[in-house]
Amino acid sequence: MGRSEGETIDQALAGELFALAYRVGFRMLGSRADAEDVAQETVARALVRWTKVREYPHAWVARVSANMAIDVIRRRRRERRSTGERHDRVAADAFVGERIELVAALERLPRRQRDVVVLRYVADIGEAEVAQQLGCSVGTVKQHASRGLSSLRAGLDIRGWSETT
Amino acid sequence: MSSFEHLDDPQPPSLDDDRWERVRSRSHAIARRRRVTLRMVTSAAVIALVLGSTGLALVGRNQPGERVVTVGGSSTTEAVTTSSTLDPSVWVTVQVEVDDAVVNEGQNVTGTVVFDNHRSVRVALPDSVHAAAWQVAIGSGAVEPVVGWLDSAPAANRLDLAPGITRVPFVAITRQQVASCPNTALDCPALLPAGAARAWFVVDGAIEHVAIPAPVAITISGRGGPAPEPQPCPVPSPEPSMASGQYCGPVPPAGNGLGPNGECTGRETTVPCAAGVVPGKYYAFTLPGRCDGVIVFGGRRWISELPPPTSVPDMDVWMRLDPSGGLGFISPNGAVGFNPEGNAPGACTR
Repeated sequence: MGRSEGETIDQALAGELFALAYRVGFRMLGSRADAEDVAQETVARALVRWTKVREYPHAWVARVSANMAIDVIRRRRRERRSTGERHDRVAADAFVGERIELVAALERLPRRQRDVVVLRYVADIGEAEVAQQLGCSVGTVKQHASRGLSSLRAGLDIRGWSETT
Repeated sequence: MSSFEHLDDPQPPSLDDDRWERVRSRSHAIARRRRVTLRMVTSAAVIALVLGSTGLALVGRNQPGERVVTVGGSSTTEAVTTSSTLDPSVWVTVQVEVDDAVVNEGQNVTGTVVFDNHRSVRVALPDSVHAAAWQVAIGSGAVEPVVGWLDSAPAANRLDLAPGITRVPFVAITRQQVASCPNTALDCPALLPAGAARAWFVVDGAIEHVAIPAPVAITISGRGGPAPEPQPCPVPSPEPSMASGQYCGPVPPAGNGLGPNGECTGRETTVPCAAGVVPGKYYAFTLPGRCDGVIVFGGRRWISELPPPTSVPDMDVWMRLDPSGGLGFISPNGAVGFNPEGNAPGACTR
């Protein structure tokens, strides 16, 4: 088998991306096993597409891991419906409700706003880096972040939300 | 800064050697599957080309008596069939067709993306998990462009593909949109330079079951370079057209809608505002300058693929419903496509 292009990435950088994907996954899912699965799959896909991803690896990894986390939640919902369970099966820590509300609120956001909110506030990537990695201006990031936050606040009561501009 | 730090794992795992090996192994498996998929599709396309001249159709819809294989749908519970000449894991193949292989510097590249759903059931593209968006993007030379998804990806780019061919018009920019640099033009990157370029079908993330096409070569002609002169418009220009690379045809008059400038309001009972428009025919239409990009045409609501960043004056254009169902206008000021409202981007506020 030929070498994949992704092998140009070293383990140190992969570890950094793994940590980012895990953080995003865990914040949304609250399960170590699920978050680790998300992180491993995300980094594996990043390796395969590295020639494209390398220009903005953190943004790509954050967005893909968030999408995968949402997929996990959706899959659970489908399973729950098929088995007749009445409650989401999520990790039972002190913030279960908050995680569920967060994912539901993110799902309701328009994609553009969701991307920025995930990158800025779930992945903790700074405005300048989000702008640079997404190829847009800081003003655009601020605009989408502001709208996204407003939409989220309208449907959420999550502690810790704050916006710096 | 936010944050959700209180939701963090206090002892997150690190990418140790074991996990690193698992990640690498998984990436190899993904890469191997992609290569197999692309090879199978390429082979099928070549065979189809060869046999096409003899009138045989080897790749295409399932016909009575045609040998088919049946694979289980991985995202649906329904069994599906596909042509035996295609890798069953390939549900959709994609082709990019550009209207004009030569565009002036800074000009949009227009064309059509042809999706061929080989399955007998509808396929949603892209899947909402692994690839959030698709678009056609222009890259300089042979380099796949880095796409600023926030700015250049149309929001209404999700598709529900019926079995068979679906044609979707696209507009790909070769300069950053105004919306991305609201404060100063200095925020905007330069125009794509004159010279060889390629139109790429790109997706926002990994995507499965879709064969990504090879990029299509185009040329961006520079202002000071040997820019080919656009073909002169035929005189008289009987019908609006962009076939020569520039707008040719009569100046579009105002539409016949009930709005102040002739824009459709939804209360009209005659075409083109109301239902009954003839596909393929150009209609005089007043394009509302509202920044939400929403219009009424043919009794339906549509949303622009490139809504203006702020409200602008209404504009008279020629609007046409493509026979395949896509909607777009052409005018001396350019051309833009529309999608049925439903996957609308966030409404603007200005």
